[in-house]
Amino acid sequence: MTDPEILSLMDSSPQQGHRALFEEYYSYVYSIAVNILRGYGSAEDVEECVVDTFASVINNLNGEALKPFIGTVTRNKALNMRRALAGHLGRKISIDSDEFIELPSSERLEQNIEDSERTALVLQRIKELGEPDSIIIIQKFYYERNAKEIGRLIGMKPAAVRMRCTRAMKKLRSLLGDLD
Amino acid sequence: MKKNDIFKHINDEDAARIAAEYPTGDKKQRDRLFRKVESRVSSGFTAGDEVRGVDAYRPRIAMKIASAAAAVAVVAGAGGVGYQLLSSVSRPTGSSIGSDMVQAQTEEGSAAEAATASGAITKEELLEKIHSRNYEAYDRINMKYRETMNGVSFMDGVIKRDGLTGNESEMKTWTHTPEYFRDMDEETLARDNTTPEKLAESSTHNEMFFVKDMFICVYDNSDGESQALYEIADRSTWLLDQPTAFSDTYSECLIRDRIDHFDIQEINENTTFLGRDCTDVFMTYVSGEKTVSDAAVGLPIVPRMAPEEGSETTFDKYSDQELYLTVDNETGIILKAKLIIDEEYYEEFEVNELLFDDDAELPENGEYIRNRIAGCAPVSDPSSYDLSIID
Repeated sequence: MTDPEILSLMDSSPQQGHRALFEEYYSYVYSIAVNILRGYGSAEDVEECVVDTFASVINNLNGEALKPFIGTVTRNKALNMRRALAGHLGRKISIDSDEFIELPSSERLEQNIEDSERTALVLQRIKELGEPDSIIIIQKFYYERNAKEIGRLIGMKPAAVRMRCTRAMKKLRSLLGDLD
Repeated sequence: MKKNDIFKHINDEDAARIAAEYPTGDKKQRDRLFRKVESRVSSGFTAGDEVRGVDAYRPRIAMKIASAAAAVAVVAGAGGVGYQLLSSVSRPTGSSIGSDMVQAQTEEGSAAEAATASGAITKEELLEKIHSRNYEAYDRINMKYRETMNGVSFMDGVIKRDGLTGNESEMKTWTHTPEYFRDMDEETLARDNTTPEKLAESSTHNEMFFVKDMFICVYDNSDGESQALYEIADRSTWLLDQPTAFSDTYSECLIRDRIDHFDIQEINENTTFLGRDCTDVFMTYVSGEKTVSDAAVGLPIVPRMAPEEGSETTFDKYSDQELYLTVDNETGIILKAKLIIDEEYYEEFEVNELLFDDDAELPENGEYIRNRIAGCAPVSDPSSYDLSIID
């Protein structure tokens, strides 16, 4: 469903419009949220962030281009939550940590390109594993889903998911052997 | 690389790309969260300053996402596998693996003793036979095989090896039945204007060529939307073919990571498959009954084909498992294998053709490889490799 269709549906039938918006952007929002909250919050925290984001988007949407608007809301929600969680956990982010390094713009650009190339390579290698291994690896290590959740998603028993995951990880390690 | 490092530096574009290619959350989860959203919206929830960053947002270069729509459909619809066992398998199914297996395991000692007394081979002798296989012992060897997951997902492979040069090729094609996509929600199907039957018509195909020190791989799929890709690398970096491409088969995974954990329940040394004299074996593992080290006690044989000994194993010690094997008496090569886990899930491996020496074909030659990659886009710059060595 396109953004104009979603917006139109939100006008004519708000609940259906909300659902359409949610379905279209759920994975996008979850993906950004889990990426920012990784290492700070639980799966429940990520879900809370997702719910907060959609509620906020629905209440504040004003005809903007949906994707950038939703992306920005998600990012800000997740960063706020991460700060709160870090404080709650008593964690302080060192000025030496990656998160606080202020690189000169040229170095930052270079670093971003390097990270992006590295990510592209990793994703390519994961894709080469074929299905369902590629799906399992992404769901497990990116979305941090457990074997039961992944099993429901791809129609496999949790035990089988664990088994395939271990095997796929081993293969992936071989494929990424030259990557630090 | 550690597991937790895989996605260490993902930016927003990559996160969006992953979301597009690999949607997450099944319908049950989405329904639950959507109810929370609606509840929050109706209760008058208002956002604070979350939207201030919108002005600062700058659209970035869109990354081309190969067959994103298909990927969305595949992932979203992958649930609901039928779990039916193949009707063509004449062996007993795992319908009674639970209590019956415990009973079988309890009687394992006496069964093994009976097997020895009647002259049947022991577990150690069976393993010795299997570990005696040597794919490098032939001038040429070809194997066509199929790996099946629960009867709904298939991988058809062909491996060719030239023992004189060490050159090899491996072709793999992945397909799924409509059943694989059967539980896909109707909204997603409608959105992508597709059906389980249409989705099942697509396939993924890899062709791998191991020529001298070079590894060339072609990645292709039948969606007709994305261009096939190829990459060239040093063969030494491709661990899955070491020592041979046969190491990449399911049967070799079984040998490396699993078979030692099982106990023989039945054995028949006088069977025939593909016109070859074989041994059929039925083995079981009951979860929690013994540790991995316990299972390996007294086994003097070290797997010869294992490319490396990692710290991880694919063996799931928490599930009851049945394993059926058909082993070629002459070569020790596993020709059929079926692993049933917790009664419902199964994986199967079956060799369709096994040819040796003059009966076997050589791996694809340089002309074939050149033609194959001619219409493909390189994954990375291939100019540092001298393709003339494949001629």
